[in-house]
Amino acid sequence: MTYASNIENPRTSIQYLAGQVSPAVSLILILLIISLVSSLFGTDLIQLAVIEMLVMVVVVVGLYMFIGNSGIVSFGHPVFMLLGAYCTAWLTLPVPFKQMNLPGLPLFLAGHQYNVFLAAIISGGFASVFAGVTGIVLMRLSGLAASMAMFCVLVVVHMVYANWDAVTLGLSSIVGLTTYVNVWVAFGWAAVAITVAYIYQSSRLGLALRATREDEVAAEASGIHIMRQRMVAFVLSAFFVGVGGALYGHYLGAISVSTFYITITFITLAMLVIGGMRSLCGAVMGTIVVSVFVELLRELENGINLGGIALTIPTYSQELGLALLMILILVFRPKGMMGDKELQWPLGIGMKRRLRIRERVEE
Amino acid sequence: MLDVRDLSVDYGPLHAVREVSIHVSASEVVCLVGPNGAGKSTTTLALSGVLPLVSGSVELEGTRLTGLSPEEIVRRGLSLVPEGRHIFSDLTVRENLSLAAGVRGDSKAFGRDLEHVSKVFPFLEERRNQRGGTLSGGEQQQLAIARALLTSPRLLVMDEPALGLAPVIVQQLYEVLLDLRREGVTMLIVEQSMERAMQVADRLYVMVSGRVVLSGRSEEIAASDLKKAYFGVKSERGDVQ
Amino acid sequence: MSAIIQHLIDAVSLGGIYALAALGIGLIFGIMGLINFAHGNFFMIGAYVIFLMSGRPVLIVAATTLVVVILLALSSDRFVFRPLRGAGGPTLLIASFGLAYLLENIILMIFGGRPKAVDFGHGLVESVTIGSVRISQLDIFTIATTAVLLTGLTLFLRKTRYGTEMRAAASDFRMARLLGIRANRVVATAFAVSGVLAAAVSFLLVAQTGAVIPGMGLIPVLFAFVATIMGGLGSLPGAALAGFILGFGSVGLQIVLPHDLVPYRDAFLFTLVVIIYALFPGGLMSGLRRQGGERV
Repeated sequence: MTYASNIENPRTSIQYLAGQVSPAVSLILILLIISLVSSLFGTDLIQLAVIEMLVMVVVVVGLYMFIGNSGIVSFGHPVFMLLGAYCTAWLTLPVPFKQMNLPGLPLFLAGHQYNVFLAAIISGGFASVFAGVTGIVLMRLSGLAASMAMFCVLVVVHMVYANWDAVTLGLSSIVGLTTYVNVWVAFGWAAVAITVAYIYQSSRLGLALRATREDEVAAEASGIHIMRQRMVAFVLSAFFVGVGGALYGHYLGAISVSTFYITITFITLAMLVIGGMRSLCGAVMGTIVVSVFVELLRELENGINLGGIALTIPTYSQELGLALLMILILVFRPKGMMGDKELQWPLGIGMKRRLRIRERVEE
Repeated sequence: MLDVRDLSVDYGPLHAVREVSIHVSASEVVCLVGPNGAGKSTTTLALSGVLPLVSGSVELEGTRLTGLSPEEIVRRGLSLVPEGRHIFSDLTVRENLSLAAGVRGDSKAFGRDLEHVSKVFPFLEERRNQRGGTLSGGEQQQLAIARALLTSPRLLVMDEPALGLAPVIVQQLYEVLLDLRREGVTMLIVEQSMERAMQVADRLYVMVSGRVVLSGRSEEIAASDLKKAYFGVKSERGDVQ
Repeated sequence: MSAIIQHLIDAVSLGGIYALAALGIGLIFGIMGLINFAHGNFFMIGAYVIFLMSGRPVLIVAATTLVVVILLALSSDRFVFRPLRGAGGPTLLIASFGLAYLLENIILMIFGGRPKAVDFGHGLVESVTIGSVRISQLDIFTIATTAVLLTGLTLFLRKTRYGTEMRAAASDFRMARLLGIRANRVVATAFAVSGVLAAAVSFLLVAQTGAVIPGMGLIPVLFAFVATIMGGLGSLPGAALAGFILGFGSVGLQIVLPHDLVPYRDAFLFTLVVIIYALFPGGLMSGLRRQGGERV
């Protein structure tokens, strides 16, 4: 568990404030630097990769908000990406396209074209509402049953969207989404997600939920309403994952139901696991590391030239490489890269006595 | 027979057992007594390989048991009847008992032992096809002991055999333990009750807060020493062998 | 009347496949607390073995598939799950998901993502007429296979030494070890048996659909997960029963749903099951027999 204050004896209010927000600030700074460097010096390819990474940060931080705080491993969160992406498509695609290809859409969607930023927020909201409704059933479940049920939700919605041609074009891709997501849009949303995640986990609500993660019975005895706390995290995380889905759609310019299914479920989970499921830093650093790793493999798959020698690896090496990496991390370093630790200010890895005890108790 | 030296075991961040040394000779019955949380159960779990040792060594008749897995330790002659009976409820009495045969190579010897054990615990034969979960608490405890005996142990370790049983049943159980003692079975028993321990043990070790504070032959340990040991004051005589 | 019998046969046939799939999952879960996502990929790999051996004699195909899937299951245990022995539920679950992803992409790498037709069970399309009912040989084959495997598994668990050890380990793993039961061997045996069940399911799936595609194991294994949880975690009879109920539910919905909603049949079924489970979290068997509590 991380505590809001990381400076043992703050002497000035500035130090105290720095202690309050420091992990979030450190992470945002890191991302800012990456964004700046890539937009100033990076090739087109690198810039695209960075945008994709930042969008993934939004998604994985959203995922972390739920998994990290509640301890429930959700295999179904990409359903919110799916919902968010199609929602923004419905809102922002040109009217003629919608009227011709998506006859099942209601008039307020088909007959209008909305602003993309507004659409992103509405998409997040749509995902949140869906989370709220399904959460009434899902949040009653614990552990394994919950994980399976969430996966079921993803499969069910995927099935529905894949068949409901009039509204989603079924298995075909919807193309023509405005690619407004540049590095600064993505960075902005990533910064917001990180900030909200940090405020939430440090707040009374977040701490209450983390208490249920450790010991359900004790938490309930202390007056913590488990279902309600989980619901809060679920709805909040759904918003950001939904926005992430919308952003992803506008980054790619085209979406289909297969974009938001097993592959993305695995990748986002791998990012969280490799970085460390229990800390915000883990979520962000994991995303960065995995993005770099996958991008490297992607380049090798396309073939690179090392001083005259052409090097290619077979297709699907990205996926195999990532799967192997994740399994290796689980075997050798199950807490992920960051373990339970958050980044501290000045930039370094701080360790608290309480964290150490917590780690040993958990072993 | 059993030689435990300077055993230390951690339970998470807690130092549950600290530098405990215990010795059990062949055909002896030794009891480990002490208040709740003294580390007695942790000790038995470490001896049987379930919990890892931080330091120290365990030897059984010269064979080193330290660091071995539970399956290996049983095969070398140390059998634990853990706290809480742990009968396989869905398996019949006969099936529960038959599991012990896996440790034995010789099925004839197992058959003989099965007969013998059935005499010590007569209800086993009557109820042999009954599911373990349907037995009473006392019967389950006896089944657990019988099962452990069938692994042909050189040392039988029992953790609080009387736990959760009615006094009448406990009395019957202790009759059985006295029988076993008469037959020469070497036993290390963890007991909460001093009275019961002194009934059946040749020697006692008193553990408090993870350490042995007093040890000696049961008849030599005066009641006052034990009380003081329980409440954390070392006796004037210190350790008596 | 004969239509009802026909539907019943379909339901039993499909239910049998789900029951076998659920048992494969439940067996491992009972002992290790692991729900093996990769089990669905065992189906897939078994199916691709059948594809590679298209046209050969059935017995050779069956034997090869069996051997390959069993080896796959044992390797999964040895290289992925044994290093993770003692890790918590979430870690095991994620690791099995990683393994599933790995296996699926290996197949994608070798065979590509398009479905491939398989020459298998072509003789089974014919029907047999009993009274006024026509039963396809495929259904007979499926039901017979299910019956044989269920019987075999029950005999194995109840009558053999390995089976008894497995039941003991599923009941109380630590106590089993204290009686000398070798942890690694019991787990390996469980994986091997689950491999046998998976091979059978891959057989039946290929026979029923006539094609292979990398993602083919996903929906069946999801039904298996759901059945295992519905049946009460740790209860094998419960898992099998739940599998049959799901089969009946699926065929039932197929009949009842209006024509344009039929593609959503499985979606309806999953939704129904999740809701019912959330309302009655004990699982099927908890009402019938006192269980040790939900092992989640």
